[in-house]
Amino acid sequence: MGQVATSMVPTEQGEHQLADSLVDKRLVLACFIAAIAYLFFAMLAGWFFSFQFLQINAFPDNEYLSPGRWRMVHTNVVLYGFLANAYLGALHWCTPRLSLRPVLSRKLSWFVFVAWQTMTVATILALLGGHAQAVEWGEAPPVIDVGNLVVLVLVAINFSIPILRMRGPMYATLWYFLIGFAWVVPLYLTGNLVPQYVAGDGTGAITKLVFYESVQLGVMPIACGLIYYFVPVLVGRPIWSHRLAMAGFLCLMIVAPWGGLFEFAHGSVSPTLHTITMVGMLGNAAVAAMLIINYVASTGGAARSNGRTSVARRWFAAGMFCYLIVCIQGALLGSSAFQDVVRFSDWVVGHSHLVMFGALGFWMLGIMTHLLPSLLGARCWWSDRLNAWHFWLSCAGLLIMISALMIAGWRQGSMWGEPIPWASTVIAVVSFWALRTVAGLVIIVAQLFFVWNILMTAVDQLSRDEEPHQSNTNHPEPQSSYVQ
Amino acid sequence: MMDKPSSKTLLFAGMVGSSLSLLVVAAVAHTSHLSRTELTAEQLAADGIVYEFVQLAERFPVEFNRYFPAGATTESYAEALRLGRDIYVAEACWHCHTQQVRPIPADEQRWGPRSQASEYRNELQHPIMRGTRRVGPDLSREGARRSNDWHLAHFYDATSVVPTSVMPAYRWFHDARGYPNKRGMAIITYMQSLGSWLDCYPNCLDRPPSTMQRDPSGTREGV
Ligand code: HEC
Repeated sequence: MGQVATSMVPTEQGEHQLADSLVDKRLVLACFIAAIAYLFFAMLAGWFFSFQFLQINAFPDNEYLSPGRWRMVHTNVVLYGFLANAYLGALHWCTPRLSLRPVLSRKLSWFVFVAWQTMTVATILALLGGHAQAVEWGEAPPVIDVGNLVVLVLVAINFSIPILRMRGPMYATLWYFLIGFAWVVPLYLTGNLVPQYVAGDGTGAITKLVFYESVQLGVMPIACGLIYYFVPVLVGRPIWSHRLAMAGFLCLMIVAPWGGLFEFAHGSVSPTLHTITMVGMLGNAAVAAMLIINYVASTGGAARSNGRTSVARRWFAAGMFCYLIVCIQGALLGSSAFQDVVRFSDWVVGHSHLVMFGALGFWMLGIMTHLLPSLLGARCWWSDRLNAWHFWLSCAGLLIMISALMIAGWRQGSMWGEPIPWASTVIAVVSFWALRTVAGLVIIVAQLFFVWNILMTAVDQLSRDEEPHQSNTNHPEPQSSYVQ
Repeated sequence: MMDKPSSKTLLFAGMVGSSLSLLVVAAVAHTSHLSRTELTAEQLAADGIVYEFVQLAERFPVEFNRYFPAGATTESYAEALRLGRDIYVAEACWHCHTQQVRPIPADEQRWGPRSQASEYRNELQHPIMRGTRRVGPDLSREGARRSNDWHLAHFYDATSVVPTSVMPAYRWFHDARGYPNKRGMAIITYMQSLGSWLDCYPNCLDRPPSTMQRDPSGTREGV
């Protein structure tokens, strides 16, 4: 344990030459740029869809601009374009640093990168062209699923083999990554192909089950691993308890998956099934609690001791706060009385935005805010103020959006039980939908600030490279001091 | 704490633990749901053609015969159902409409008898059409609630029949004259088929089945 705490703590100081030989920075940069481009595109897609809710549809005659199809583009691009690319970039940054070996093959990494972008573009084209599969978050038609699956296998091999070849103690992050890699492939397979070819009344439950397990064993482990890597780097001291992180890992692997039985336990009378499900759900809650406790204990007081709070760290803090709310909401959703009201309503849509943008998205933006200057070869951001705007506008927009959606959802759910025409339940929430569209605009503008800042940082750096003798004198005071 | 062998043991334990849990979960799923046989679209169709499909053939004979040369047969009906379902998926109808009447009073009062597992045991439920969100109403008992013409107008411009509707326009379901094209006929047929397998079909809320919608020759039993 002691050894882990000292030698395995991720630091980025004094390991530059080593890391440079291990990490392909251009690839990390490429992944992040792709992620941001897709994020922006996905947000525009969602925003476009939102106008339909205000009875505004500028293209009623054009099937390729049908709001419904763009709704599927919105969520798929968020997941496969933004989140997956951000994960890929961050994984390429920290896995070699922790395993002290490069990925299995850099050529393979680039191949994966290109193949993944191709699959994502193919997904967009298929959805807009009217080819979809009724699997939420996996609407791409089965042909594309197969392509994605092949790429995911390559990703898992490329990262896992060097980790498995490692000698000596392994930092928690790598454990989390391993479980993510091991599970993402079988879960993607079952999630996308079983409902298509096995089906029946069971698929409803199976789809839900695979969805739950994909989050538990695919998406969350990678996110946890990244958090356990980047939080110590950002606060400049080791994680509070590596043991707790490992306990979280074991709990995630062994206890939490049982919660997936939830959907089956619902209609079943077997008390054993209920108990097992409850244990699984509790395990899930415990993993979240361990992550949050470890985070708070690791960062507590650090903000003050460093003089100022960096924007990257703020992203993590806000993301962690959203995650806490998400977990509480998850617990609420476990109660059937609550489900009866909010199920199928906009409340769930608000919840999803909090997960995807509030928690996962904020963490990824934090990582990018931290890494992008050095990836661009710059010492710091062109403007810290723009970064602050990016952060605060995103928070404000998200807050307005999820409040609007959750209030709207609660209203819908309650009104559905009243003896009034359906149309009345729709009119009742239109003003909330209008607010949601405004909130969407705020979030989009926030990302524009980010894009602008990235462009200016890159341009600034290019001009500096051209006049090397001026660079030292003109360089502004590095405000993001941790970007070394 | 974690030297090499214990790391491997840990990983092994974790993999075994999670595999075991997933295996059990899969076994429960299998025994409780998957082991039952399913109907194909043809078998569903053989159970009876909804009258609205015949009506489309009568109302638009030239067009109908172009799209379904065999006429309003069981095979054509199965084809229309399959195509209609594909359109329902491709146009994300299932992201605004559910096909599940939950076992709670709010749902049952609005749409009729709660959904049974057997209703999902057919080919058209690959993947299941339960849906994700209700912007519009549940559609699992939509059959015979509205006339074909109502649907035709509604798909062209929903606000023409429901002024406050936020449902998108689907003009590509219509030909140049505003008649339904093949896609239009398929999606209308699919809508009219929903719930036609129930004893209480047609499930019209406070609305007795109009004579126009019932087939005098008894293609489908009325209430
Ligand atoms: C943006 C969400 C949205 C999408 C996408 C959508 N609908 Fe709707 N739909 C609604 C709303 C809202 C209503 C209620 C108002 C109305 O009747 O137009 C509705 C009503 C309906 C009705 C009338 C139900 C009744 O008997 O009152 C049918 C049928 C229907 N939709 C079918 C479809 C089909 C088929 C599609 C896909 C081609 C679709 N909808 C896509 C929102 C949507």
